[in-house]
Amino acid sequence: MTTTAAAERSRSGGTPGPTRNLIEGLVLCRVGADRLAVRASEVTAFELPTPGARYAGTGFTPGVLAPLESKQLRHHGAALVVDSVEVHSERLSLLPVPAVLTAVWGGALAGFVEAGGLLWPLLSLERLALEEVTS
Amino acid sequence: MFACGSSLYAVPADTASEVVNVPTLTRVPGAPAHLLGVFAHRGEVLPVVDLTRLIGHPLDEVFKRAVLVRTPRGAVALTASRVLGVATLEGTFERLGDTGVHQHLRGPARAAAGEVAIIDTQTFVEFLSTAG
Repeated sequence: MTTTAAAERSRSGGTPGPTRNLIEGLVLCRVGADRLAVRASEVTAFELPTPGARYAGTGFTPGVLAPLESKQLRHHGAALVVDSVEVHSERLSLLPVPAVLTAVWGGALAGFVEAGGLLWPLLSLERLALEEVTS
Repeated sequence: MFACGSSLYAVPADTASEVVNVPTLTRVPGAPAHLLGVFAHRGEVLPVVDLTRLIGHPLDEVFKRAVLVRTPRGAVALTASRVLGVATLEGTFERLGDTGVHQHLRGPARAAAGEVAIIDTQTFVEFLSTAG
């Protein structure tokens, strides 16, 4: 997984143009009626939900039980439970976080990607883990 | 100037970028209730803010249009029931409150359609950015 704006410019002939941050290697997650994405490189394990893990489908409210079929994404000490996961390998543009959303998830909202004609909020599991440690 | 629910609002014309049709929104889990969701618009992700929820009088209305406001701090699309156009307003421009979003509303100003709250867009976007 890389973010490769410079590499992309180089491949396209080196002509300076609008900077695009590109990202590849994502896990696309469904959480109730909502969606979110995480970088595959940040997922250290896929596992069954463990008690007390955050369920993303309820606005990350701790202590809420996730559906039985849920999946848990682990990044070292942090765990996030979602309803379903799908690995996405195509390179995508990373769109920046609007100013009014920078505080969401304790600053762990890392941007947005468009995949399959839909917009997906990108969550940084690493920053979420840091936020869990400090909160 | 635009209506949202039964209230009238205005934003400085130099910060009102355009009126947009609100498509199906992507919700952001964990975002505050007044942030209805986001949509992609010309390569940019725009957040849609429901003014009725923000001032504490939420409606069931599904907003189909929004006024896109741009400030140096960022852009937001403000839900609109009706867009009334550009107007010159007269009246007082005092803060309408000392707490919450009301600190960033000024007025009341007078227009033919009634009293209008003027949104101080610069501080309003700053407020939204820290309101979590």
